[in-house]
Amino acid sequence: MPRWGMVIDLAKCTACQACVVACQTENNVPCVPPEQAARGRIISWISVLPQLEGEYPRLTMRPTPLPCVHCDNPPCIRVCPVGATGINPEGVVRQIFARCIGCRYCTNACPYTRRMFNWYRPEFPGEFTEALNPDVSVRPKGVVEKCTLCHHRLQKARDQARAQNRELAEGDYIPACVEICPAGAMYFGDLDDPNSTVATLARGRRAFRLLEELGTKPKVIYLAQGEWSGGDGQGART
Amino acid sequence: MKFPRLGSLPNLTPPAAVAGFILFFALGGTAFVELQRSNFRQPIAFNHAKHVENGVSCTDCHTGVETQAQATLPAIDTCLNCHQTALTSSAEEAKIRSAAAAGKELAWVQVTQLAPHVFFSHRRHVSVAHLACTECHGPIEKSTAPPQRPWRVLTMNACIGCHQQHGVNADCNDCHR
Repeated sequence: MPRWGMVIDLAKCTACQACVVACQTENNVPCVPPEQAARGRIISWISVLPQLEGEYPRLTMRPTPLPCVHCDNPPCIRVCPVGATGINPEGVVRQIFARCIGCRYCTNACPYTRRMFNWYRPEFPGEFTEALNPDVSVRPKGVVEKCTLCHHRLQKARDQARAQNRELAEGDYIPACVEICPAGAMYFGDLDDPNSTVATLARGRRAFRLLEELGTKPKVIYLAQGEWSGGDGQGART
Repeated sequence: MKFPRLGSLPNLTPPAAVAGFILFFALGGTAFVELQRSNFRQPIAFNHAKHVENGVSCTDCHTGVETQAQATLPAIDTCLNCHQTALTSSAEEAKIRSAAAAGKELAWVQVTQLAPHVFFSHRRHVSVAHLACTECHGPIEKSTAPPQRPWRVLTMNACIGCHQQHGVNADCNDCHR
């Protein structure tokens, strides 16, 4: 059984926000008015965090795209009083919108702040209502939502593979953010397959995980920016 | 600091409690009826058994079953494939041609409906898993008049039971997303 994971190369990310927009449209993420967004009520399953390093004038911005990191040991699922969230055998941390009672324990428990509460009835400006993705629900007011790693895409890819009488191959299933990335900074695949691109990259010397010290064991792995560009000493270039 | 205690809640008088009790079940009952869609009439007194007898298969009319998420209710053109000219002297059959002459579609009512937060694909169940229609829809092919309610009420337990029996993935996100 695969264990889905993502690798994001920070050296390649240009902070273009294409992943954010792709995710919004793919997953029917509602638009929040600017004044409410300023109150921290914006919903975006993936955001590009501007991490600042150094001090002026020697200041650099390291854009860090941050989706739900799909921890192997997720703090959010332990606090849910109604079992509306859990981790599936493939390692995807899921949210059952219809079961959520909106207590927001999970939004507080998530150290990555990747869970968002629907403070309002979802609104989509004008033509957007015609462009909603029929494979994904529009969440009602009062529930928490989060990244699903585009689970509907996995199901469609599996159907396609079965129809063609073959196994699911690498690249058949990728989330919308990874597909859109014009800089090719995002990789997606099975972390348990030692030969997959993500598993190879995750073993490299540039690989690190956010807030690793919390023991959450995230499955979104970052590749640090750096001038070192050699192999990993075992013949593989990272 | 004083915490509110259960005792400080307003005591419900027995009549109010009884009224609340009745209201709760009355509303629940209405919701259930709504879900079952029992108050409707199909545009034609369609006879499934007669069609099956004459060698028409499910997929001939419900064309989306093998390829789409929705099984689809037949468009009038599908009916006209056979009923362009009268096959019987039935008045119900004549309704097809009069609707077609008026340029109208037949307003079929979808009897089997899932809750809005459930995602279901006919293609996945019919083409990939090779499930028979009757597994979920009951003996619909034997019905001689339009059913007023689904033959089988589809509950989540029924879905999960079948998935577990066949060792298929029963991940929540497969249906609820």
